[in-house]
Amino acid sequence: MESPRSTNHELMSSPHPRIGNPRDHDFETRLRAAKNGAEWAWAAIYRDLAGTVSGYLANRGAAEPDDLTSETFLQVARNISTFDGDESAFRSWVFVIAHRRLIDSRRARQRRPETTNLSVRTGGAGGDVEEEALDRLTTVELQSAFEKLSESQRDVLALRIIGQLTLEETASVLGKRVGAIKAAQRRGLLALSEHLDLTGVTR
Amino acid sequence: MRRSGDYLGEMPTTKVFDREVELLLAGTPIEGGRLSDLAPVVEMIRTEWTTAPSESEVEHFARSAASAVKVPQSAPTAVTTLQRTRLTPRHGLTPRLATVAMGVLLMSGTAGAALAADAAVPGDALYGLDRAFERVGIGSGSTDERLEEAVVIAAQGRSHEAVGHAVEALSQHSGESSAVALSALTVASENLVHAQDTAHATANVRVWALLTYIAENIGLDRGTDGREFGQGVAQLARDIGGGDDPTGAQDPSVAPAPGQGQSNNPGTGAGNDGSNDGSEPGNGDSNGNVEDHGRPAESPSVTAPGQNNGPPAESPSVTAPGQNNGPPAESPSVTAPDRENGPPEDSPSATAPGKENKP
Repeated sequence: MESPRSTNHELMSSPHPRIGNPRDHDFETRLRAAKNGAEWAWAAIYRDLAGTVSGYLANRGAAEPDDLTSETFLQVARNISTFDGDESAFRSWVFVIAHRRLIDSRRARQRRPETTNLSVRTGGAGGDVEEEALDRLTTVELQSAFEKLSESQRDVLALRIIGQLTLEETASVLGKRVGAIKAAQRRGLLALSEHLDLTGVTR
Repeated sequence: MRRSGDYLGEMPTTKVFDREVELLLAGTPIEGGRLSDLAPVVEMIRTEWTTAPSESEVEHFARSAASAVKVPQSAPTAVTTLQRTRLTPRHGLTPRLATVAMGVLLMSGTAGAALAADAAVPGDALYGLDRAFERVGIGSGSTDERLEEAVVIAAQGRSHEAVGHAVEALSQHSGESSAVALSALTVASENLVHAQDTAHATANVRVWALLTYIAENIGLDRGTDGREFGQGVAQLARDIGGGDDPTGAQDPSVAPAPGQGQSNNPGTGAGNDGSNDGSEPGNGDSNGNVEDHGRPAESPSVTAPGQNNGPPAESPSVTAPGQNNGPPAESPSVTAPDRENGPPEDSPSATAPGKENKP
């Protein structure tokens, strides 16, 4: 251990503990491994986030949500060396990339208004309880109600509900203040409730 | 028969309503509350659009991602070659940071990449944008990130700037290792001034090595690790002055490894053979011949004895003994051994050697 060289070897061969919040340790380890190209880390990242990212993209009108999801995650992989932050920041970062990809893809097929393109996943999991609660509401009704919301309300609600991001994460993805996110989700949910006639108006 | 406007009218405060919204979105709405009708709708939106990826999809992605990490696409080849030559000589110095630095370097050359700004270092046009991202919390400007930037700056040969940047980063960081690293950087800075004329290129490489080591190991504040860190940085800082090089690995052109020195020298070693006949492997004369990056046969692969099967001029074999069998364009081979960071039970492939065989 006299020379830096051998010291370094020693350090590399045993994952040295770093002082920090133990809760962050798993993510730190995973991020570190991901930066080194460890497949297990990338599998874990994809397993965690691909479902919500692709759901978000599908909901927000991506023509090919699966392709866009792949592109998003490949960009994440290519740029991972530039990322530094905790798990929450990482989620935001992934959704920032997804969001930009989405906007790019919309531009690429501009002649088509994206609102006609809301694609719904078939075979949603829907358990018994939900089924019972939802059987009076069809997917088509839900889609059309969702489409009536403003663009920013849909962005916010999709990120909050499907992306399962926090208020702060959503704000950082959309580059807005938390207050603006709160306002958008308030109005969006109320409008959704109105469009779906949930407020008591006879269907 | 209420309309949504009625909610707004009877709402005590927006704050309370926002709290109900949060509970609704969290899947735990207040029973019978104003928003409880929306609970099944929220649930339906969530389940309709969210699908868990299949395991085969996960595997497929993991494979492509793992190789995408090592090979940033649209990497400008000119830069690659140049950086490779310069990055080559350190063996035994932290592969992870080398990967990071290489990735950042390659990416900062592609202005079109959507997130290139995040890879920007001071002096780049995109650095301001990078800072802007940090303000919104993306890629926080932590000490670690600043240190990694310093590594990148050093890799570009801007040693003075790099040291300054690292000092700035470390002075905002508490802990014994920071203090130790700062004092090493002071030594480094002095040595850098002296080395300027005689051993410029070597000094740059050694500054890079020092910063890489610091960035990789900062935070080792106590115990054996802390002492080793102190010894490590002190040694690397001294090396910058061009003094004794106990590892013999800093400058490959003058410190051939066993069995390779002889074959490299004939015909190419003009001006160097006199001081180094290859019979003293590992005993570096680090003051000699620092400007010979252009000599292909001198490729620093000499620092990885017996491990480098690739063509010397093309495969830098920076830090990855036994891993450098892949084609150079696909494996800068600045990655590798750090993989055992992962939980072993989860990561059969993470520790497996011969990673370059994967697509």
